[in-house]
Amino acid sequence: MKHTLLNVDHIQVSIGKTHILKDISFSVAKGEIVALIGANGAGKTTTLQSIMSLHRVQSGAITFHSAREASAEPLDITHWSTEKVVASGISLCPEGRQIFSSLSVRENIIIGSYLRRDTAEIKEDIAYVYDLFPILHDRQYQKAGNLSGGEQMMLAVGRAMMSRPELLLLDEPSLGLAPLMVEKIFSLIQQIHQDGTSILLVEQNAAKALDIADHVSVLEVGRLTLQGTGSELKHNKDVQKAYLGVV
Amino acid sequence: MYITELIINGLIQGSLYALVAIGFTMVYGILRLINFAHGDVIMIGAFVTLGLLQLNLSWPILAILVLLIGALVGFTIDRIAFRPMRGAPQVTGFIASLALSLLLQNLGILIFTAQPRNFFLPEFFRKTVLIASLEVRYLSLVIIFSTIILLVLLLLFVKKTRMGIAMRATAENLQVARLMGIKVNHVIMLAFIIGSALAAFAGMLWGGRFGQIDPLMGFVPGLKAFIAAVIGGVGSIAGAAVGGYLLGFSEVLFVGLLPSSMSGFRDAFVFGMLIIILLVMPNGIFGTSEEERA
Repeated sequence: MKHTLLNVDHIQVSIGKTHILKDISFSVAKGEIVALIGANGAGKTTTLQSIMSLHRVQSGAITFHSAREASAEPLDITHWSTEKVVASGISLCPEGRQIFSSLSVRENIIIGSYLRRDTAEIKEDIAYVYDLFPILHDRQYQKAGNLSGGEQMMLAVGRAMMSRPELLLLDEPSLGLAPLMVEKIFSLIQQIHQDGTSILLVEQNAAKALDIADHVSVLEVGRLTLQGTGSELKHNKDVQKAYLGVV
Repeated sequence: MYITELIINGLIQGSLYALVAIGFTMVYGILRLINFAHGDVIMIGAFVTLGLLQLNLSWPILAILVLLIGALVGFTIDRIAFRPMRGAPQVTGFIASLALSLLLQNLGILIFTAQPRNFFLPEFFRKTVLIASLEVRYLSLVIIFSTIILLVLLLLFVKKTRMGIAMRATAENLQVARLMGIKVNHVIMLAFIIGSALAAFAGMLWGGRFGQIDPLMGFVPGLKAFIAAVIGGVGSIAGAAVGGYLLGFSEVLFVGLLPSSMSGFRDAFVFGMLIIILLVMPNGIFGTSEEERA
């Protein structure tokens, strides 16, 4: 049986007076790519932010079981602080990239490793990021705000990788990018996955997400309506109609 | 010779404003909070110095102690007055800072009375040295050079260290800074600590320069330092320093170069000039617009 990294168990989240997540449950196993798809406002981003403790979870639980400490009990991270969640091995690459535009490219990457103290290995990881995205190496001393949209996306992914996450949460990585760049970003996501990081992907581009995901959950107004493997859902009539543009 | 004197006086006044303006700009940069109590830390610094002078300490130790006590004041202000209301609307913090300012001033009056007190730094600071046939007090040189040293150290800290990068990241986007694992409350606390240490230090120098201190002494310099921070571009440390020097120089030059019948209108001229600067550069000299930040 596969090792379950993250388990989201019947969580409910409200922001202000709006009940956003009504009942969400899913899990991510080690080595998997799991995708959440759904229309705007379905609660995909809120789900990721709740895992990172940026919102208060009213009921239900989120547990994380590091494969690095597989013998230990799973940790209940539902009400942890964000920095503790990051330290435990989860990292979020937020929607709209949100790089620090006044910092240099290199500083953005360094700040991703903020919680680590292993100087030598941080250097190795910076080299790994530059290896994945050579353009960032060429522009490392420029202000990050001057990068193009695609380059900023690469920087945001690279920055998120600097905390050495076991589980990388990606929020709409293809948003606002040219088709060629989308291809490139998705192949890099697969590369990161092959290098050993599990991925939870939120994506509007359902076709792309179904292509690379092991498991997919479909979210509609705060509830999960369908779950299955990527290929199962690809052949599901409702999914085809709603998300893949098949009439 | 008259010009040399004006330049030295401009540098001194500018240094004092710069030291205080930095605290405003650091806290505003992260919290978008205008902390009106910041000026009163100048007063605390001056009275702390007055107390420490009784101990006959050597002056480097005196300076370090004033910096440390200023830091402690900053820590306390953040912990007691501002941290409990993190996340509240900005206007709440603004009102809290006004309340704190009044509280500190009245506490000062309660403890020390409103009567101004004489303030003499040790003999060393009153010695003079001849520069371009002008007698300059050691204190003037200490003000100018200690400010430059502190500014350079601070800029290096913010530019080069991991905590400095974290500070700039937090000022740009608090929520994403959290996602990096940055403890945002620590960064905010550090901004208060550094800003207040510098303001207390300025208080010590301020007392030495003017020879008298009183519990309300911090209000007007605080206000002017805030204006210096706005001119430099709120949120930018280098900007606060430049704004401070600009304000100091213009005060001294307007008084020095205008006919004496006009010198009473010094502040009107100075602020008129500042308004013109802001009309041309609405975000201040080093500031970035909010749109660019987003």
